[in-house]
Amino acid sequence: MDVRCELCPRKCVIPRGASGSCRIRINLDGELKAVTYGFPVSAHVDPIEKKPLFHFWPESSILSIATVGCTLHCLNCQNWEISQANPEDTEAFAAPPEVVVASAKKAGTPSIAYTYTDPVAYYEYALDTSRLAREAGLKNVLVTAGYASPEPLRELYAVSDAATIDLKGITERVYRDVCGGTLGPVLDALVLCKAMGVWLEVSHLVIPTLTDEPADLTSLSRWVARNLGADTPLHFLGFHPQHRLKNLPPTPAATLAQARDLARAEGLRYVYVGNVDVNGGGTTRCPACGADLVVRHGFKVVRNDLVGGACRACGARVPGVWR
Amino acid sequence: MSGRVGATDAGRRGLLAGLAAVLAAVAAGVLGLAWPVRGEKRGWRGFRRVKPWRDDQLHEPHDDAG
Repeated sequence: MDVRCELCPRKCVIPRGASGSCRIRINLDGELKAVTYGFPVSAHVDPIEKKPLFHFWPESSILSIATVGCTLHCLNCQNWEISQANPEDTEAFAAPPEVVVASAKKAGTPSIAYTYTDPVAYYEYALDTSRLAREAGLKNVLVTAGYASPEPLRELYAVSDAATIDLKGITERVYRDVCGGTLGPVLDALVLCKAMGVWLEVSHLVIPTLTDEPADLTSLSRWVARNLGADTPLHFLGFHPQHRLKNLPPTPAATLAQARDLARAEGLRYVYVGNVDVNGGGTTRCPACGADLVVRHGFKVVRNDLVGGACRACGARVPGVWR
Repeated sequence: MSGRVGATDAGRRGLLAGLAAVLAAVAAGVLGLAWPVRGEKRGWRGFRRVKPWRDDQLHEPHDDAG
């Protein structure tokens, strides 16, 4: 008997013995089984700034986990060895949700990130771990492409505290040609995240010749400002040749600086540049007096002039979830 | 010689069906419908290896999505 998976917009119809496009949901005798449940392939304690997440518990560490599999198949994927792997070809760790939560407590990290591949792919595992983590007083962070159906996403957002959602582009062409997906569901996922009160930051990888058109960067920024609000942090990330796009050059710093200028011109107040060294690329400025409030070099905070979430100089509040 | 050499009705239908299949495949490719990754029929044999989790050895760091 075929099974129809409703988790992501692909809605794969999966014959007996086959997997869906994500590679990890398999029809076993008519029952859809997420075979990576409880078996992460990657786990590490990272600085939270690496997600990237700049306005949520800055300078904290975060236990970050992933299983293999992904709902998208981006040509540029930097983690393709795990996102595009068949689970039976990989080595995994035995770590049911209670082990992950206990490990975070033991490591003293205040939060857990579901990241590296995509928590939508390992949805049930991320959801159950998030529920347990919340009961244990931990925060949950999603790092996702947001390519999911709204119903399961709503359930996952309900136990999430923050999310970095990667908006791959603002055109169908990018989703179709680069990621093998569609744009509409991702925009819906972004709006739903904001509406449900999960702290949201948006990232966008600027790939030379594919996602670096100034007109597209402007319209992406405009969409974020209009639909998510001018206070939503937007991270422009530099591309490095990876996976199936080794023929393209890395993103020049000047392109990222231009992207930042275009986004600011659209009214966005917190625009960052990552992966490439751009002057002030990781600095949070006061929206009122313009002072440099949080200065970051890479993932390290080197100065923090926020006092209880407000500018030390003028007292203006900066949106975010501050400790 | 008169008539159509080798053009039986069944043959013509087969040729048309073949042509239609080729055109559909090309169209699907152009429209991006035939994205390379599809589910595969391979059953489930388990992971190549399952390793024990150790709190003091958190492993395999990766970049975050993006």
